[in-house]
Amino acid sequence: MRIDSEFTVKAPIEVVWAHLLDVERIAPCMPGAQLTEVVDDHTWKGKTNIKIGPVSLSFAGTVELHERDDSAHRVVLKAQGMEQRGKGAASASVVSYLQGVDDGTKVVMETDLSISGAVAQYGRGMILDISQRMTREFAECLESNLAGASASDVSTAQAGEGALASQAPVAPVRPVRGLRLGVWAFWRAIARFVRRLFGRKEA
Amino acid sequence: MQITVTINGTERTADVEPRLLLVHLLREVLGLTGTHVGCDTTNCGACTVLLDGVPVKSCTMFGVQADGRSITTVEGLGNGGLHPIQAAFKEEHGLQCGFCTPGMMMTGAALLEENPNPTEDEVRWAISGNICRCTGYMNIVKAIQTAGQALAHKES
Amino acid sequence: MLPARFEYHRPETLDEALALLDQYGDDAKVLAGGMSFIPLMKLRFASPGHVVDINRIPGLSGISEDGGWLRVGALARHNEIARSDLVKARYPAMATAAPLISDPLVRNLGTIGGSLAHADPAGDWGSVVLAMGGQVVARSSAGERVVDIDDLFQTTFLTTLQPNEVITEVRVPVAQARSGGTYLKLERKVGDFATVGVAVQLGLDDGRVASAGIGLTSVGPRNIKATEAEASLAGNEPNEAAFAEAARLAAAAARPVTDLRGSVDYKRNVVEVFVRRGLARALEMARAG
Repeated sequence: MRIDSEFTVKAPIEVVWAHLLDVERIAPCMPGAQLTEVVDDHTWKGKTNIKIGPVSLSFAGTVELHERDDSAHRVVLKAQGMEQRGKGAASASVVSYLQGVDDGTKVVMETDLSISGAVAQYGRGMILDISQRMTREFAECLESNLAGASASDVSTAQAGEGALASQAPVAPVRPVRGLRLGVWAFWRAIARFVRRLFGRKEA
Repeated sequence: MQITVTINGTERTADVEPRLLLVHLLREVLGLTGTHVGCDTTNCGACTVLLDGVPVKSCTMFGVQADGRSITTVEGLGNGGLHPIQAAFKEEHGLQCGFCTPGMMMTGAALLEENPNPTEDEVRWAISGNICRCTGYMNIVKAIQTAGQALAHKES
Repeated sequence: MLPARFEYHRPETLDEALALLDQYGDDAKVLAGGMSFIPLMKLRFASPGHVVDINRIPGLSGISEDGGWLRVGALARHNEIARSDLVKARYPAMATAAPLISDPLVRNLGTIGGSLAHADPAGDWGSVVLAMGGQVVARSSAGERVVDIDDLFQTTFLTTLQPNEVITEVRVPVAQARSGGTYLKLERKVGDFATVGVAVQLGLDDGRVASAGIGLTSVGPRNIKATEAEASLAGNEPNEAAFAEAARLAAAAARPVTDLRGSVDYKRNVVEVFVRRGLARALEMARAG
């Protein structure tokens, strides 16, 4: 299953690229995701806890940086994860790249995702909205970061509109050396897709 | 927790976890295996019992919710013999494998309490929460209607 | 599968229930009919540490007209609403929708309050109450607040209710003369979720549309109020052209996804057809009433 998303930030491409590679600054923008281990310079382990209304899901897995192209501002990530209570498994390939546009930089994510198990069976694909919300929250947070806002301003912005931010436990991420944009994109895509899939069947 | 449920007219007490489903209370704790678990997704209705006379899916209730209330299972339909609906299912060949049958009969019995002479459409509507893989429903409908007539005759 | 372990509470009064929600906060979940919630628990998609069963609390299931509203207790079962003479006589959108919810067995336990609080976009009541311009009453230990139904739903399974709030009542405006409404639902089989559902409520004044409500089921992340379509009808002649335009706008407002029940285009088309049909039926009723 293919999930595409994008957002535009009002900043030049090199600034955005550099900023997005600065994990410590973008980490607080990611609700629910958390890094648990750096395996090596292109492999990480992490988890994401998602709670929406009564439903909670907890995925843990591995992300591998498959390709990185600084001149094209492009990364490819491969990821595998398992739901911690046996709800299923997920694997994804995420291509993420930046494009210079009129008023700034467009950040594009193309995710090829497959899900198996209970989560997939009960998936009804109705929650594209969640990924749009998360993308919007992430972008707003990023934009205020890029505008030179302080860390406390970022968390204020996050706590404001973002119902998801307040609902999902915000795990403070331990910044990890060498982490790249794509990891966050992957976890966001996973969280986004998993949020689509918790519809159980009967009325 | 301790619960007391009146099952088929008899008070039964049990000490159960809250998460024990009503269908499992009936089958595993109280030994009444006439109520069946068919789907795990609240779809099939094989688990149908009467809760204070109202047909419900016992797989989607906790046993503790039935505390202080009364349940009728298929074992409690007839008083020693066969309830007219059981006799009708037999006569009209309203079952093949029999798995859905207790649920069908409980739903049918509840319908006949309310509407002793249902039309085919009314029967089909009433059993639309009970799935049968074998019969194609025709004889189930006939059985319920026949039972209705039998009950009416008994009264008159 | 079996649910995870939880502590079970069965308060006898609303105040007790609200105190429990205060105490356990986000780790507690209210159990009403359980027809949506227990399946979630059986799959362990939801595993609250505390379940607060409100079914024994009295006074939460009446259906009556009072003070300009139809007031329906949150614990009113779908079948109770379907059988209510008052609803059948004066609230046709509700009367058509109620018997179409899930299947007869589920309708014996499922509740209108639970359905709205669960906020499944495939929930039929959500669209009906949206079309009728209704609201819910949410109680907590701090008091009561009234929430417009359109402000209740955020996205799938997410409402604006706080963890310590319980819906106690659902209200829709009291029936007016010269009004009509209906609910159309396409499902693959009985008991399935709607492939598409459309709720319509229409009020006339002097032959023109005084009020129009359109609610959409299963075509978005939450029940959708087709506000542009509604606005296109207000004040205008209720003719075929107006209805066709409203239907087109409603279909455009829908945000369906392609799944086993159908493609995006198919579902949008059903929305359009159902809105046209629904408006026509509501108009007939309104002219007759």
